[in-house]
Amino acid sequence: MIAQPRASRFNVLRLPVVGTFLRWRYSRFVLQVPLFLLALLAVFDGFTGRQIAPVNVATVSVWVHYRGLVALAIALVGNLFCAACPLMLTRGPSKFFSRFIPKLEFPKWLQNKFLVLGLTVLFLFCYEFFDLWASPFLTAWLIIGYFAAALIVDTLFAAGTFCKYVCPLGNFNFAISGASPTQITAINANVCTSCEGKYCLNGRLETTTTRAPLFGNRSEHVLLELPMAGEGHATRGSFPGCETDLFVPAIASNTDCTLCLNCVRACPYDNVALEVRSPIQEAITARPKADWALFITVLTWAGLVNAFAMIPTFFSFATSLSSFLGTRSEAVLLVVIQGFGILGGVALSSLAARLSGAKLRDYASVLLPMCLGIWGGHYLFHFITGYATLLPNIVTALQHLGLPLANLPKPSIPRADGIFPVQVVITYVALAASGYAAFQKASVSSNGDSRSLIFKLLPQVLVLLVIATITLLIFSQPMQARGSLLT
Amino acid sequence: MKKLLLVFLLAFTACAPKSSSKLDVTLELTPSTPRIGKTNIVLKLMRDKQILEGWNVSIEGNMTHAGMGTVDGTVTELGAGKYQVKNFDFNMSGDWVLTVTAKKDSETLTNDVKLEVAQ
Ligand code: SF4
Ligand code: SF4
Ligand SMILES: [Cu+2]
Repeated sequence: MIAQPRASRFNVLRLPVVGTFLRWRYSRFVLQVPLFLLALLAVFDGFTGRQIAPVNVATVSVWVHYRGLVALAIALVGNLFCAACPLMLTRGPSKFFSRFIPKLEFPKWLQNKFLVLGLTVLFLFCYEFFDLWASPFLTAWLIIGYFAAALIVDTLFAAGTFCKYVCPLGNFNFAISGASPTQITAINANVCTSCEGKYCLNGRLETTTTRAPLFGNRSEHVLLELPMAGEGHATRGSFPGCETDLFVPAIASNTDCTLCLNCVRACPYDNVALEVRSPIQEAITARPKADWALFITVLTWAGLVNAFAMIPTFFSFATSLSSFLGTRSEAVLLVVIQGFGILGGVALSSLAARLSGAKLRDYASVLLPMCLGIWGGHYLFHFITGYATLLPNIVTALQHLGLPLANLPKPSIPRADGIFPVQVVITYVALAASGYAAFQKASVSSNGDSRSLIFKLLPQVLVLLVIATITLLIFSQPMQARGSLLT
Repeated sequence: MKKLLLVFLLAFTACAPKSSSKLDVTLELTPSTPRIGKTNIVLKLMRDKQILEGWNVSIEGNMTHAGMGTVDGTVTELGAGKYQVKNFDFNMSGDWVLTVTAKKDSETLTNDVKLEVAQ
């Protein structure tokens, strides 16, 4: 029984050229290779090139292009960076090392989002404290550190542990792709109900006569004798399942989905779609676990703090704080500012949830569009001002490697004033989307009682207005790229 | 590949790369504390306490934040080791790095000078 997709739903994987490419076994590899080469070049230039951020591939590719394109792709399509993540090329070596090193079980108490939440906050501190954005050398080390961490974690533990529990970049992407317009879904739920092997989750091993879930701790130990195995969509071979433990018919959000499309290839019934959905669907319907709700909330407020650190007000604030606290220690001042911003924000969001008669996790998803808007609006600024600066630097780095290329002229600094109106539109769209999601959530829980609806909605709207106002205040300021907190 | 490996190894063992230079640069700015906008700069160039005369000098300005383009200035020699850059365009506030390069015959000297541009 092959299910037909419902006509009302649009499946990206059915698109003529794009769909065929995405379903192809090696599509991910093809996307990873160029990014891996770029990462190598970034590390090379970061270590050997000029130590001035705008003229070095390491700093430009990571802080301008990577960040800008991640946010843009998520807003327009989905979590494309995880799909093409070059860190996952460490799979080869980690499989090799696994032959000699026994697999450990990732500790139960770490199987949640608190570790990655801590790592994300630590990263945001280091970003400001060491001025990572200004240092090609440190940025190169950061790239190496990421590759090493992915290799070590996925060698010691099950594949996918790094993505799901450790990687701050991946989890950042998981969170903001909560507001992206696509999601993995099952085409026909009935096919899944009668599916014997849950192959999308467990993987599939198919020969000409048999079909079984891949062995390993996820195996369901179903071995089918199939006269027709290995035909049609169900090609022969070994197809890994979802490394982040998602079961397609149960997927209700983009959380933990790297868009690796393993599930698409593992499902023998061609029952997995990359479906176009409303970008605010998840904000309305998702009810994340407490740890993930906290992650989303922290990330939203941290987005404000991160953008705040780029405007003159931040530096005058730091100066006043310095004399108030009587310290000139940048670490102390940063911890106070970031801690106050993030914890204060989380406290405000929790209070609002309490006033709406609910828990933080009940309303956290409402922040998803706003979170994408804040980070996206900020990164868009850097991407629009700086997109033209990568190519000349790549050419220079390749020249250092001995390639006979002609120099490209260095682009001059564009005046960034034109971007503010775009940021205003982004902020209002995000505010409207989050506001609408809050309205939907509040209506569901107030069962048509309009008085209760107003009381539940009001705290959420107020918090969203606070966030949007701060966002606009920050975006309206001229940017100031400065390393030292105090003069 | 070998070359690449070597570079990696070197990079792992070395500290942050230093910009080696024998060029001493002293800046005179008008206005003296730089603000956003056009600024006149006079460079005083020396090497081993000797002033540099008749060198071909260029100046390139970058911010310390990635994604900002480059500002170039036109340099004219004033004599006595002094070189002038008119209307250098500091178009954003924050940390800047001015890279001054002096060339004569087959010799190239360079140095980076950091400064902060106010609002
Ligand atoms: S998506 Fe495919 S493999 Fe997964 S449960 Fe449904 S039918 Fe089975
Ligand atoms: S296998 Fe898992 S992570 Fe990969 S696309 Fe499918 S659901 Fe997403
Ligand atoms: Cu910024």
